[in-house]
Amino acid sequence: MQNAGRYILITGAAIGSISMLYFLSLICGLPFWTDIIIAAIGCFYLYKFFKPSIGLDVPTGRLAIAVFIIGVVILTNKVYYLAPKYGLWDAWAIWNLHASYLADAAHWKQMFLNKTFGHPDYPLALPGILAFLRRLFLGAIDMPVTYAFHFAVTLVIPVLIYFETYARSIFIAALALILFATNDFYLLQGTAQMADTLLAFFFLCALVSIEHGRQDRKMLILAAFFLGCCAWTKNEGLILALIFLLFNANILFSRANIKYFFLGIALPAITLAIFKLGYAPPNDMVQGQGKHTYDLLFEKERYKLVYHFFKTNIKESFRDVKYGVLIYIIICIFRRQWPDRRLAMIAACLLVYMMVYIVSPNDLEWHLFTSQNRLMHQLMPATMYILALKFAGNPRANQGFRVRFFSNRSFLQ
Amino acid sequence: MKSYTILLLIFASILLSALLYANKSRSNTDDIDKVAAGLAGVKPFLSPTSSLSFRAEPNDDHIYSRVRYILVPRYISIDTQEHFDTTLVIRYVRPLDTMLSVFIQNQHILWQHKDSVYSYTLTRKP
Repeated sequence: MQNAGRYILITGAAIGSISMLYFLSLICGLPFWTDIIIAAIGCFYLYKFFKPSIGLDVPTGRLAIAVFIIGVVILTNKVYYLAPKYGLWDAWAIWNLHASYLADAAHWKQMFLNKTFGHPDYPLALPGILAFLRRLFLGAIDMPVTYAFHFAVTLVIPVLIYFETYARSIFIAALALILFATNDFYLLQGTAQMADTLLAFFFLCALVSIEHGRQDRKMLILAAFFLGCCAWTKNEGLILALIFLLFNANILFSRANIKYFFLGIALPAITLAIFKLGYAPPNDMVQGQGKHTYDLLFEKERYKLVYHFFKTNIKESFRDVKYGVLIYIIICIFRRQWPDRRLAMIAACLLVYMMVYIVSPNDLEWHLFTSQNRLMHQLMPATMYILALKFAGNPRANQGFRVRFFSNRSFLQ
Repeated sequence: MKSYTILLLIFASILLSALLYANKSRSNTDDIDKVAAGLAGVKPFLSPTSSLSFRAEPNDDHIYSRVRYILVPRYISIDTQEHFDTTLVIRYVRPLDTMLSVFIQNQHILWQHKDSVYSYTLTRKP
């Protein structure tokens, strides 16, 4: 694994850890300076623990660096003027609101009184880290700090995919990076200041970690931790984590690996349990279920409407992914191969998301209009990563599409 | 190129983007800024632990959510079933809702402010 990618994973783990520890410290009533010390020590040990055994630097050629710089410059140049000042509606009405509460150590529990449009049941990964950073900067530059955090997450997603694939195929890696950097929908969602991109990042990190789990079992700890982070970021993150576990149960729950899984999942599971059992009110979607849920399952019109929105969203915002998946499936058909199991996992996540809409107690059209594209956005980076890996092929096994379509060694040096 | 250099480049672009955003934000005024400016004077009247009712014209979630965001950590209730002694009323400068005018007339006014769109009034039960 490339070291830059490894550092991004460590940073992701640090973000998740700090947010959890900050929430736990609020509960314990610890002063902020102890949070800073705990966070610093935690980050240091996180770095020390994951540094020596994971990966080596792959030689980075001039072309690879040039492409990386071009991608970063395009993205940096585009994002700031697309970014709404306070984010989109949910950003300030929910996520930044929660962050503001959490930044006030004396009165943060008043957040849970906001049951009207406030969604105090939403997990606190994003508000937690934002509150920590805002206090670190003494509350003087709240919005630039918030923006910088979201920009960082938006930036590191394509960068992680780039550094995970460039050694296999510079062409595919560059294509993925440029597609991200020029995708207005992705950039707008990234800086809309909502939790969807952070969830997408954690889910991607879980996929990358488990990919390297065979070479280094410590990566399985990270994979489990990132799954916990998904659940700690958004309620639907729990769905993603459970489906991920289902599809990777043979790896994570094998006798040799199960201890790594529990090591990784422990802190997020404990934090989430404390939050959900001790503080959060019931979720409105869950509470809205009842006898009528069964009837909703058989309403054909609801399926039609969900599909209609899905099709429109694909057409408007996810065209690159659509063509990528189509090309991949056509290649699979020609090669008489089953598609990658990870893509099936993404499809399962999407299917479950769509089923949530079918049984939604809210007005379906409004619900789809306000959230379906964001849910699809959560899965987009993971899908792009899997597609990039498949198109780039596996240099070690000397097989996959790379051998037939792309060969990149000459580009790297 | 070393990984540290790559990380430095990432960090530099984050810093640059944050500066560009801060610069852009300074010149852009959002609805939240307008309401925040209107409510700037009310904060000394409300302790961080205070709970208050909220009534507005137009009576929609938009202005309520903005006010709640601006007045964190105070608890502001739009729920008509919850009654608090203090009420924050926001209405148009040329009010249309006569019921709201009657409500204000029957209250003790603690603070009032007007901007080009809204009139902001903090009232207490007499």
